[in-house]
Amino acid sequence: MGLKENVEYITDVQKIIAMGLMQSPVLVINEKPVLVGFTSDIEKIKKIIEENM
Amino acid sequence: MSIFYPIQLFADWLTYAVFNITPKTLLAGAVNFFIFDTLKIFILLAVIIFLVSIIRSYLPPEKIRAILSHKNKYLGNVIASLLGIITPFCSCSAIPLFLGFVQAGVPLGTTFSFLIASPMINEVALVLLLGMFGWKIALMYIVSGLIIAILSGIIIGKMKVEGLVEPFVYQNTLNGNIDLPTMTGKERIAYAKEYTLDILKKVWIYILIGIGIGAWIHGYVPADFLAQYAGSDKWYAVPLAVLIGIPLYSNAAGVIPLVSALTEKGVSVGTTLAFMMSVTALSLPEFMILKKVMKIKLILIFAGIVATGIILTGYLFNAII
Repeated sequence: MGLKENVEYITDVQKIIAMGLMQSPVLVINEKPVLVGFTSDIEKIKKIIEENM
Repeated sequence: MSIFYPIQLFADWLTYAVFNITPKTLLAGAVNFFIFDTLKIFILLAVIIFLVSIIRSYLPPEKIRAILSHKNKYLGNVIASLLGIITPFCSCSAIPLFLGFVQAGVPLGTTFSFLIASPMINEVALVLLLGMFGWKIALMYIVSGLIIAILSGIIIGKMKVEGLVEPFVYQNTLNGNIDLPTMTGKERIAYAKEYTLDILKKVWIYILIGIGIGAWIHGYVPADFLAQYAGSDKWYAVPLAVLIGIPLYSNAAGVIPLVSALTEKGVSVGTTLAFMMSVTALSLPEFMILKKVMKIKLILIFAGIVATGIILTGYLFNAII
């Protein structure tokens, strides 16, 4: 998608909980959880990323 | 006689016509029982897990927490236990749930009610109870499980055990009201489908083994054979059953079909219920994991209260049935 952003993969449970979440996997963009508890298909994920950048 | 009649026809056809086993022999009984039960259980599992997953997609843990943090003590324990029914639980989610609830201000007693009900009353156990024992036993299990979860949570709440929680837990506080992204109907169905397959993949082998051994017992062990060791008049049967149940958590799906065959051979209902509750509610791996967030003393208090509740339930049903 040609994006140049910092991507961080977080596995620290306390950090995920500090965001107010209790499930994994989670996709967070600019501190906003956009996909929680399940994985969607790749097209949907692309759309979500575009909408939230 | 029931909606499972077509499955019985199919099991009969497979046993007598395809496998060509002589009817009314021990082998025929065991094989027929195995085919019928396996099909029935897997159909029930697929349907019920799917439906529960759809409901769950509307009530993720974050939403449950938001509901629970606004409730007063006793009502909180009741609602936490009820919501525990639809949530899945493996020992891997004990820590995030505990931290997420407590740090957002859900009282400790309410959190424990949820932690007890969630693994004890789950859809896989319910399907197996319903399929192998019928709705009466399934209902007894749910109601007594709920009562144990509610009361244990209330007792732990009253004991003021906050000092036994690891200090770091209370050092972080968080806002429990976050906005979750909404799921589309299509996503809910995809989520439920994936989850159902996931669970079936995890449990099918245990269920097959459980039903297989159960079918053998059903066909070959004499009726009431076990009554002399584990009938309702044996006082030690219930505590012993609870003790044996503690290390069996990961195999809960296989244990229930096995136990249903044992009940048929003379193990009393109260002992059976206590054993199954111990398998689901008292889990050694969960206790080990909880050590990260609480002192061993609190884990022992928690396990002790739940075990006492289960043992009392066992004696109660042994006495009245």
